[in-house]
Amino acid sequence: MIGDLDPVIHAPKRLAAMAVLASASTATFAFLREHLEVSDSDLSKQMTTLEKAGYVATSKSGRGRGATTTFRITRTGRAAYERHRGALAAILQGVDQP
Amino acid sequence: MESDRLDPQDARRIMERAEAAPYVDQPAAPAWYPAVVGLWAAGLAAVVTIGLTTDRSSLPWILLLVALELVFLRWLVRRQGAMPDFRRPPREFRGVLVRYLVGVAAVLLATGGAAVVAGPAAAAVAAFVTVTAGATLHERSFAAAAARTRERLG
Repeated sequence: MIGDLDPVIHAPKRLAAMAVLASASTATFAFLREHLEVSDSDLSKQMTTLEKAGYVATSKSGRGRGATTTFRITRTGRAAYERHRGALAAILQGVDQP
Repeated sequence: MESDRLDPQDARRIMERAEAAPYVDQPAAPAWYPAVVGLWAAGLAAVVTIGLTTDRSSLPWILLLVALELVFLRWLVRRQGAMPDFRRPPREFRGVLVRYLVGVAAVLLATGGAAVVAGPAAAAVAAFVTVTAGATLHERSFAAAAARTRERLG
């Protein structure tokens, strides 16, 4: 069961980001930063990791200070998150019912 | 490694709070929002009724309304930060979704009925009243569910 946990997703900040994106059609950089309570650079690093894994897609609109970066979970990312979620539930079931 | 030290129960708490975030971590809708949505719906009801009941083409007006809607949605996404998709809402929101769908059905019935009985002007008035009232009630319902969810999750 522990082996089924996705190492890319399991890190707390990336887990939170994926959980937000799994419940939203899109989420902006600012929204994720505020929810995760991290700096711009930290969030960029986490989202780059998720994007390289193919779990998240990024789009940018506008220019300069008014520009907005938006993320959405990909089909691969959603499948990975659901597997991770299922693995975690199985672990917790074992913990809750020894 | 950070991932090796994450307790499963901590992970569950992180997931629950983050999955709820698009529903609960949103600014309240501006006071003008229900009336503006009502006006848009009134316009759509009028042009659709005219298009269906006369020889005049309402397509350009419909396209204009669609374009306005897309601009509005783009602004809304930026303002809200995250748009909930209702795939797996917090349990406090299940009633919100049901009431929303019932409301949409009521709007369509009222507007359609007004259009058939009394024409485009009546359809526009019916749409404006029902959509403005419905949007107001929906925002209150949504805010109440968000408060209950925040209280549960701590």
